[in-house]
Amino acid sequence: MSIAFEKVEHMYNNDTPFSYHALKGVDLAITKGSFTAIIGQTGSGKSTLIQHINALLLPTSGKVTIDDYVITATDKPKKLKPLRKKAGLVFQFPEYQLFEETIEKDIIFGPLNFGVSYEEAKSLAAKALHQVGLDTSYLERTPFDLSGGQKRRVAIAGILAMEPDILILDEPTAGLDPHGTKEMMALFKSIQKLGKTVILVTHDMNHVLQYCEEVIVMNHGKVEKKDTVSNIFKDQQYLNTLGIDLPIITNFILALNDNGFNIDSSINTYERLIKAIGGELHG
Amino acid sequence: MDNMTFGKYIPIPSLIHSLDPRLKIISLIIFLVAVFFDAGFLGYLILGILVLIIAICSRIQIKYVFKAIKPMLFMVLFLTIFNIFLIQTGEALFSIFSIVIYSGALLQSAYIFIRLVLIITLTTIMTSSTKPLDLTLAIEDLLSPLKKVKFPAHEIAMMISIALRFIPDLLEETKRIMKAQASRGVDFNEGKFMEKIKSIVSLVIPLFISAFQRAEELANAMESRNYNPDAPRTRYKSLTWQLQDTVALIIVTVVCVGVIVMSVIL
Amino acid sequence: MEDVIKVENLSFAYNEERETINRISFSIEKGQYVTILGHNGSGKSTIAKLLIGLLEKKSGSIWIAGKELNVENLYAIREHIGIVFQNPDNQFIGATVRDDIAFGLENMCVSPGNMEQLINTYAKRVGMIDFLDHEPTKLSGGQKQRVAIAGILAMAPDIIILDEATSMLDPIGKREINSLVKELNKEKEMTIISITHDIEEAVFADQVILLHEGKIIDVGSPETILRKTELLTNLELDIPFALKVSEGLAQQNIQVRKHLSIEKMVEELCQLHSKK
Repeated sequence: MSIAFEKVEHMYNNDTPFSYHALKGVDLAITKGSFTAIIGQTGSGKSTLIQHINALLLPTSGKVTIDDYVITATDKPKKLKPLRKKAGLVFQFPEYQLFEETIEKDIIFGPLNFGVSYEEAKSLAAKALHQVGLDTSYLERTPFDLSGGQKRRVAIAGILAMEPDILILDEPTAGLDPHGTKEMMALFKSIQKLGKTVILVTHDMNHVLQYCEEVIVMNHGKVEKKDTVSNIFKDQQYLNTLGIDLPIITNFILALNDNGFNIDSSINTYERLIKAIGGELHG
Repeated sequence: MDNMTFGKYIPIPSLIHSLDPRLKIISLIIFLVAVFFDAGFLGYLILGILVLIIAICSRIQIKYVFKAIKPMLFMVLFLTIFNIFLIQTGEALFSIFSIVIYSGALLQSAYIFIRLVLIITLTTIMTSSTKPLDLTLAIEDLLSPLKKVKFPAHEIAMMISIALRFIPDLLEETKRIMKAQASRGVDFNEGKFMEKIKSIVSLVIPLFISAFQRAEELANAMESRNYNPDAPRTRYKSLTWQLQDTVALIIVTVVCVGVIVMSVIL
Repeated sequence: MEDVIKVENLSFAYNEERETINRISFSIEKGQYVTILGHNGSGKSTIAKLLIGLLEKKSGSIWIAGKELNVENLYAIREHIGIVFQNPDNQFIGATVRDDIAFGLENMCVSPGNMEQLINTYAKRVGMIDFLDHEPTKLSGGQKQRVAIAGILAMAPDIIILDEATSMLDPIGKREINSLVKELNKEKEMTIISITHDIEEAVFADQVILLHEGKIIDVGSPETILRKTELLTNLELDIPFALKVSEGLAQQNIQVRKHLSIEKMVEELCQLHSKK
């Protein structure tokens, strides 16, 4: 599914003295099947933006197109429900949405709401559980017995079981330890490889460098930049004005290049970095 | 949910706003007692004028008071009409649908209506002119003599102030959970009865769990900072009773006691 | 330097099935910056709660500022040690910044007349003097954590524990807190115990404690501990970036010193490069 925003504005509490202009004239296109990062300071509008993709929020003006669906301010909720399935949105700390008696019941909750049969939902649940790295013995357990990281995986399985074409993740690794973080990011990359569009809202530029292809930069409600990962990280000065640091690898390369090295600054993996340094020092 | 104006504090500089909250609570209680004595329409007129003067001095616009009364109005009218049909004292006046309406009923019902309106109006003025935390301080102060009989006055005040502090957070959390569940296909507006129940469960359980977790973390934080309700502790904020509070108390007491006396004599 | 914290054979269990903390011993000198590293579930937060007496040990002993921690002197000992928790909202008790800092002072029976000045002093120290009457809903995560620190400073502790205090903050908030804590460590000789996942933070600590399944696997300076890359990997922890680079280059037959700091690594590589 391709995603397009055309002149989208969003005002919270419109027509009241408390109105807040959260999105200002957003024009945007997200490529189908891409792994796109949305970055920007807290309060820049990232959350508001992603909630338009699964139609949790409607644009105050302008339109959002998700493949064949066109969403404008006047749309009725009933029409929009299928979008909640097409675009699965995982909020920050999703473990807080668990509520059922067993993990299986919680995971099938989503699919059932979209009219999937009970039997099929159960098989989707088993599949989703497997995807997030938990085995079927978890199905009968209560979700509240698990560790924070495990609960999070169950919550994500609940969204994956809905079989969305687009997966939107709002800081999915917040609070996880390094090992948990690696596993989670690898999971999302594997989902992209299945052909899904993955959108990642994050503050971690190392993840952006390692996993993403495109980056959208938001600032004060506007989309200020959209570009490939390597191009975005070429403009360090711009990123600094937004309080965003470069990834460790990129910073390192720039420091070396400042002192005589000539390493491709778009290198995004540790292995290639070592090879490049080795190359410069050997030859 | 954001439009809960009933009793919400409205910050305007006024005489009533500047009065000690303890005075306001005490006065309200005295007033509530006086209101239930039958001093005839004259008595209620006097009380009504008192409320009117207080309302004017509070500089709270009449529309806010009406907004607060409105939700109660339906209940008040219902009670009044209910009583008209129920009470059977006094002379029989006329009948509607073969139910006899007595003069006593009309009189009592009128009293009920007036009493409720007076109480609601005065309470609204009080909560609109007093910060919730000041009310909490006042409650703690007024109840503190009861500490001698082990009444947990301080703990109650602490619970109220923490609850007040977390109301905005809890509202935010509710919105967040609703959005998360909506993203899983929950429709909070539509659906058959059973579906609606499920929707509510998917909201309420996470809220409760998160509330308990919050409570535990908060308790840990408070304890780490050496909070000990049983040990002596000082208080940052205090209330100062001024001359205007004494004067106000005297006026309210005189009027209310006067009305009570009237009801006994007449 | 005397030990401000001494832990001997400390054990604790939440339930009978397994020991959450299994006979650990360590000591921390006054003024040290110590990081406790371990994956989620290794017992790091439990240690923090034991040190501040929120949990009661099963066996062993804890000495804080020379006094042994037990049920009787709990409140006295807590005046030496403050803790900042992970969730900025769930430790903010007051209705405003002012009220929250005052909360600690009230607990310490400071007279109301002195409170105003103390509140101003500590709010200023953490950079929140302009926000005294702000409600927590109007503050960022980093600001709330700064208020938490102000509240702790008001109790004049010797030790501050940070229990993953920056893990829920955005990068700006993380920076605010990390630099504030480093300042306090330097100027006030405040002993800092930082429970964290951030391996790059550990590089600059005075002491590193590695925790795994309730046991201390190793203790020592970052130079010693963080160079044990195989051990760190086995414990599912990150390796400092500079070290990763040196190990990768070693596999390419390029020998560089095993620097922990990225700057030093850059320096050395540039030197090697210029020699060619």
